[in-house]
Amino acid sequence: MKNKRYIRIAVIVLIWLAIWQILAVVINNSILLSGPVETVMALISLCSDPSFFMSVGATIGKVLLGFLTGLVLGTGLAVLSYRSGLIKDFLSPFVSVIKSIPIVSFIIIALIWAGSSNVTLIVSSVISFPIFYKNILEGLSVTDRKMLDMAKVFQMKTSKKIRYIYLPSLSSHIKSAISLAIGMAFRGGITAEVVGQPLRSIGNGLYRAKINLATSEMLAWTLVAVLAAFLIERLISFIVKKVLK
Amino acid sequence: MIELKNITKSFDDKKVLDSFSAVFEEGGYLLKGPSGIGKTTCILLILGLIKPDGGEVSIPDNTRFAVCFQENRLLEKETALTNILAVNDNVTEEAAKSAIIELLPEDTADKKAGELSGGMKRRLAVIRAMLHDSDVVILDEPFTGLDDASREQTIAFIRKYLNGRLLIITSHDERGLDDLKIVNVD
Repeated sequence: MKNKRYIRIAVIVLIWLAIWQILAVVINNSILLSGPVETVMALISLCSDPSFFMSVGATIGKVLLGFLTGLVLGTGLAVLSYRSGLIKDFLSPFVSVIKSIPIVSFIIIALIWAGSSNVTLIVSSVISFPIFYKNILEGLSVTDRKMLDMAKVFQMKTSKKIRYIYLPSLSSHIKSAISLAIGMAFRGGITAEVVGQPLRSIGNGLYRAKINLATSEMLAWTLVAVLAAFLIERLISFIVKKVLK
Repeated sequence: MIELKNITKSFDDKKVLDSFSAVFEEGGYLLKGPSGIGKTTCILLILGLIKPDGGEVSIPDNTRFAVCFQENRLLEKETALTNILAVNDNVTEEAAKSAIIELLPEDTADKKAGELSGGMKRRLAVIRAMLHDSDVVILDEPFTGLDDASREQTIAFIRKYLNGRLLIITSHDERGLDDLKIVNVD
């Protein structure tokens, strides 16, 4: 059954690659659209340069750090808001504003305040924060009141309350927040790099490929960004699944 | 001593308790009355989980309660053993297992609460309450869903583990509880 599913996914991926290749052949202009073969060749060429891995590593590290900052801040403030209506009301406009401000505005502000080397981290954390805040707060709000009353009567320890009552209730909210936030953090972080141009970053690689009109190289960098976001999301989801088990 | 003085309580404009008074001192009490009359409301008032609209609930400071809720309120995804240990820090695994065996089949300890039948869940909720270190034990309809034999077994278990604590039971069926002082809720 599982093998059948994998085969189906592989066939679907191959069909999309074929569509991409056919489009590239029809357009017949590698500046407008490079095909998958050219993109893979460009990727292999990039891999031969050690600075490529440093760039990818630096971007992944900064995005992850920003993501974790957003997670810690979002979770911490969600817990405080859950415990105090005053804090919740106080934070409400702040969170709404953060959610609605265009990413590029954050990028410019972060560049002015913290310089290009920190822009990835700041933007990733600012993007992740409201996602965790909203999801965790919602998860806490729907925690079974009757089970919390039971815990109160039995004077259950806080650690046990978290493990047996809050975490099962938060589980699906945490998973969906992680899945959403990691993708958004990567997109926002790399966008910030394209604008801010920190040395040794995926965004910088994308920008250089763009000014050189090297579309295959640009797609190779994009492929790396997509794969990095996918693998990191899978890794974090795996860890969370183990922890929440 | 627990005292309810002239308690009035309504839910959605429906008056459930009207100037209800009762005193619980030592021994066992049976809160008696037909379904929907307000027995569970009395329990929730004593536990401090709801507030009265009028009147006064008087409970000595630092009173520790153990309770078997009407809806069990078990950790459905956890084993029967974990359900007991999660709220009973002073109870050892061996003691919990031996208590489980007294009321439930031997392999129940490792089964998840959500997989147990209604009657088994009920007995597990009673075991959890009886093992809890408390001053007062409150059992809200503890025999619901139990056949006569299980009911007798559960009553014997409650008596064995009560250890002189104040006991308040709600039930519309008095069988086997003749020695309890009756408090009519009406």
